[in-house]
Amino acid sequence: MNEKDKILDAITKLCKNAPCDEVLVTLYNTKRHSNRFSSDSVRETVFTQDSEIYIKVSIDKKIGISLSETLDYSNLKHSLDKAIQIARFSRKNPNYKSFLTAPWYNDPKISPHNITRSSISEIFNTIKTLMNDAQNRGIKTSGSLIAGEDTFAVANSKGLALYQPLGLIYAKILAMSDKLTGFGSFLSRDIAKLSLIKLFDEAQKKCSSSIEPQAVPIGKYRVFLEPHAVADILEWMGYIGFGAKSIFEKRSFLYGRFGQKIMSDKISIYDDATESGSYSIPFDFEGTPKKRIELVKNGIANDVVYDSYYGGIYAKQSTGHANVPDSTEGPLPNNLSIMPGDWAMDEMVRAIDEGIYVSRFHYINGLLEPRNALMTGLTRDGTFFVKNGETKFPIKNLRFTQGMLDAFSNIEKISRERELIGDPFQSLGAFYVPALLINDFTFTGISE
Amino acid sequence: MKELLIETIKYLKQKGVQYADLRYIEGEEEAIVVQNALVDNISNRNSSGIGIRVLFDGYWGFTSTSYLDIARLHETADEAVELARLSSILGKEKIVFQEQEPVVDKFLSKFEIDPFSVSLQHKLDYLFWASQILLAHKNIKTAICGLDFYKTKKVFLNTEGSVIEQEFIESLGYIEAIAILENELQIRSYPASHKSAIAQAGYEYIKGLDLVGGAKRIKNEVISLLRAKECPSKETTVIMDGPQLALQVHESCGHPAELDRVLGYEMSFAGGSFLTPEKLGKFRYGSNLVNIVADATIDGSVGSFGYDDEGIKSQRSDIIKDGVFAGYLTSRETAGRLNQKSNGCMRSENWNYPPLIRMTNINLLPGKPSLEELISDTKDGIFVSTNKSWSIDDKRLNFQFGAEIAWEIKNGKLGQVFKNPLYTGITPTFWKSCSGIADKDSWRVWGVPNCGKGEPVQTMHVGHGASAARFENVLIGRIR
Repeated sequence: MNEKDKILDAITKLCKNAPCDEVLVTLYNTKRHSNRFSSDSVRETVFTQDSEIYIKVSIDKKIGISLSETLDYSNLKHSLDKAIQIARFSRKNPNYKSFLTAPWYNDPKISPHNITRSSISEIFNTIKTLMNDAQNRGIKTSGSLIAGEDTFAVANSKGLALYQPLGLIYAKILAMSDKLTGFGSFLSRDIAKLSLIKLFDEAQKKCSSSIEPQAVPIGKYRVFLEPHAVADILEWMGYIGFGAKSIFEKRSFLYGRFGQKIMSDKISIYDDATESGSYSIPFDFEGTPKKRIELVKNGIANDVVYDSYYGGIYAKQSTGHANVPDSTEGPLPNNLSIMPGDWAMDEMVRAIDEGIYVSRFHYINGLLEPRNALMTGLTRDGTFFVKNGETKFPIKNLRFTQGMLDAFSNIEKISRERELIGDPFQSLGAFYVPALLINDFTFTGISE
Repeated sequence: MKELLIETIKYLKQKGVQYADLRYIEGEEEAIVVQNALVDNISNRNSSGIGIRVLFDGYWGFTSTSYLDIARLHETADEAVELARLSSILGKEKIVFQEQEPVVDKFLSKFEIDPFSVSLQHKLDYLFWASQILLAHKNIKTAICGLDFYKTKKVFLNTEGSVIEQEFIESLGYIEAIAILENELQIRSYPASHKSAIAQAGYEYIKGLDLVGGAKRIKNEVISLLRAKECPSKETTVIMDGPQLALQVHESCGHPAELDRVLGYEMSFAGGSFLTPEKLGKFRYGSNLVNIVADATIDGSVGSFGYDDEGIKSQRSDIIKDGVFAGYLTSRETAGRLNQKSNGCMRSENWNYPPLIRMTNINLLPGKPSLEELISDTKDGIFVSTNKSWSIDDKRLNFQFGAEIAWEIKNGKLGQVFKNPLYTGITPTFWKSCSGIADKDSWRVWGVPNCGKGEPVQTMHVGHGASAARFENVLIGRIR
């Protein structure tokens, strides 16, 4: 039996004849080589494998969830029994309708690449050469590499049986001169697309200046946000405002504002796992195919993402955004994107009379006032002062404290180029975002 | 199980490893969440497997398996050695790993009532009771009440001959109320936010939390926040309560003291640290009142254990002594680079992850005045309670924290309530402004059950003992 048949056989068997009203089994396997490296200290090579098999059952509108880690039938059966036992002792939830998706055929278009020891060894040798080259130019580098083969499978008692293998390659490089740092990252399902030379160059160009970072006064500035910085903000917006549970709890910045203009009409935000170039999984943890959802359309609050439970509450179809079965966060977007604009990134910088160039952010927190999408965080790895359309000198990192509805209302320009940004240890998906030029972005503190 | 591990150690020695350790971990978790008097989640997780870490010819390799038979363990051991060979491609100099005398010992965390023996019915009744108290007020639109329980068994063996068995029980409880009035939304949590009320203890800990009593208190507080004034923006004296200070210690003292961060291991992910080695023993971190220890020996705290995941006995060591930076959190590999011995801080999330330097219980030691005396001794200031948001730069210097609630302090007395308190500062400047730490009566160990670090990212339960403390000239309120 091949891997696909072995998995589908085990999880579909479990769904048949179970003494409960509904059964859903979701398997998420990860097999990943990961390595952290640096020019001046040794790291470890780690192979991790995680197997999470969630079993969710319902009995008379009472739910039980159990998690097992092996496909061994006795373990799975034990886990199913545990879920049933939980459901029997639980309480009825009148909001609950059904978590069963009708059977459909998934064509696993995303083919996994074949990660071998020799392919990893080849990548390591290239990294070593590039690290040595950088060091010869006085630049230290560090970073990490993940090469993996994941498997996602869902079966239910209605006869659904889905299987999807998922390859991944992720690399990131931090380059450090005496006073400056620069960063680059790459994420894809296709190992052949990895260009380490490009990545090292991208990181090193941000720390090539010989000028020490200067302190600039805090206050409101025009900012150019590279796609990395935009993705950092969007990640928090997704978490606090684009899921149906945040609407249900009235915490979302979209709550009570559907149909209203909440941002500049230049901006449209959507979630789309099916878009070309996206890093995604074609269905969610309930086996529902992922749909494209327009969250903000030309600045107008439009929609959020749903799973079966919140879809039931709001009389909507699930949009294919069910979360891990034991998560209490509700449905969340995993493939947030912003529609591209008309500008080249260098044209956007040239349009700045006086402002700040931000490469990426660090440690954003969006829990300050979620209804206003008020967030704080710091710049990192390449912050520059821009004067008359040119980056003049590096500056010390700045803390922003900014309501993002206000910031996104002050968008002046959007780039036509977009980048795919994500971290496979933090998320199942990725962001596909342009750079933004924003007016009156508020910086409230200075760091080193 | 032990026999399988002994046999695998023998096999690894035959393969010529310099050092290897095996960790068998078996765990069970239960999570129960009631939201608005409906069950939001009841789930159970079971996990078991073995992680194998080898040091082969100067380099590390790590892998793991959940299949517990000797053939699979030999295969996994071979793979760990292969991974160490792969590491050598990127290595510059071979790892020097401190030797350690073998230990054979057992450690059992203390508890009175096994939480897994308490019926689901009982746990649900308790949560529904607390939930209903919160929902009795019409402006409370969301009430979330939850319990989490963890049972972990660890068996550690290494090539030095150590055999260490440890068992832990942990319990966690929380409630949260979200109140809404027109456009105003406010939140209050009890006993603390972000699941900080977690202990190495049994169900007796949950009983002691008194979630029902707490629900009555935060119900009134969250309602008062709906009509409260915005926290004023100014530089002033701030007293913060234990749970707020616990997270401040975590972010601005615990993380920067991790020696792997200092050495650059986390540089491309979580960042580095301003606590560079030349500062050790000299750097003025805080006022003379500030004493912070890493203490894995105290009963009942989630950062406690018998031995770390490298077989080093739990210990207490100084991080900040009389305001001066005194020591790092270390491992056998990193401590050697400073000619020190490991102070036992290596832990991994589970069997399928390698150990990393993690905080144990990073405790701000109590001072002399009582909390009441600290407040009555303050003419003008603000008292902040219960963390809402946190953010700190990649060197751990510039921070901003938000809290759920604040009270004005006027002439030694707590006055009106303020909403949305935010304060910001630079780590050493802030700790040097510490002008008072409350005594042991308000001192308690809180937990951070979701501390993320490493690539692959691992989540760890760590502890922070803190009482309330006072700081001068703190910039509080939102800068617009």
